[in-house]
Amino acid sequence: MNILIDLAMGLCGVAIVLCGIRLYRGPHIADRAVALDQITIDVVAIIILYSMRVKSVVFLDAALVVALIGFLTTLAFARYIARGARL
Amino acid sequence: MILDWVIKIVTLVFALGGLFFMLVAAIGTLHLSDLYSRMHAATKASTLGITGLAIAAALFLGDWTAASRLVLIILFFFITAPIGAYALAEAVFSTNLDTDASLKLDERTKRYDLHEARILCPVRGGPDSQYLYTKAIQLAKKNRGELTFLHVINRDLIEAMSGPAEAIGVLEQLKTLGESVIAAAQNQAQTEGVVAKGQVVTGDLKTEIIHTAKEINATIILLGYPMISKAADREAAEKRLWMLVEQLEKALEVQVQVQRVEVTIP
Repeated sequence: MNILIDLAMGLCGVAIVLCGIRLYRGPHIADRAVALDQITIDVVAIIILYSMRVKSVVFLDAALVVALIGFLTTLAFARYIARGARL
Repeated sequence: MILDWVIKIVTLVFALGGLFFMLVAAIGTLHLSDLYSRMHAATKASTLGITGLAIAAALFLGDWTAASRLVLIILFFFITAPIGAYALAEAVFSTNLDTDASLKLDERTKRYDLHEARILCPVRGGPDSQYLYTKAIQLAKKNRGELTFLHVINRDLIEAMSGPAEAIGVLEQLKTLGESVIAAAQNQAQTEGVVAKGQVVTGDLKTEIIHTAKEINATIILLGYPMISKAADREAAEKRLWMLVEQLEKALEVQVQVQRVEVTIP
């Protein structure tokens, strides 16, 4: 089972790389925001898989925090696109 | 014993489903052609992916503390993913004029890139034209687009005014004048790092715009708005302009933007 979970984490890594390419390419800042959001979600998935791997509950809180940060990042990007650098 | 196996299989199915959607979301984000499709792939697929993985983890860990947190994560994603995507799409849609033109192009050719606008900008010359082509250059720069300037000489008007015999000479004169207008626009484009093509043609304004727009497969036509101080003339000019816009949109299925130039002549 451990090997399967490792494989799954590897696939999530592949997903991160794919999104990283989009993050690099852009071309619009919103494309980058979408890619970054996607990467955060992949990180959450990896954390969930890791907590399966070590059979521990404590990492799930970390997953929740990362998810929250990703959401706030997306909102901040949206606000930045709509209004520019003003707060 | 049997229950154990059932739980294992269900866990595996959910985990595989979740992973599948995660990968689809990543591939979609990379591969799809425009922002809105990418957003659609990223949010939908990754929400489903996280849900699958979280259910699998809850079954695998088989414990209420884990399950409660995972349910929280699922709920969180189901609430925030649409909100985030909506906020982003709304922000882009409200600021980016060009997405609209591109979406229209999409219906016709079934493929487009948000950032490859082909802009046709008919310039007339004169003080207001400078503002018009500055705007066109900015638009082209922002969208990494191709820019074509067009100067139309109205042959009928010239012939009516000067008679057919002198018309040839006058036309020659006007052609050099038009070329210099376009050269000035191209020069400014070059300093901004935009490559612009230019054409001087003789004929009817509407026909020539349609012809050139078809030739370069334009996605945006940028028209200048003539500033005329006399109220009666201005109303007539405005009426003519909007008629032209309507005719162009009908003939080409292209977005026509009218750039209202404000010129202060000292």
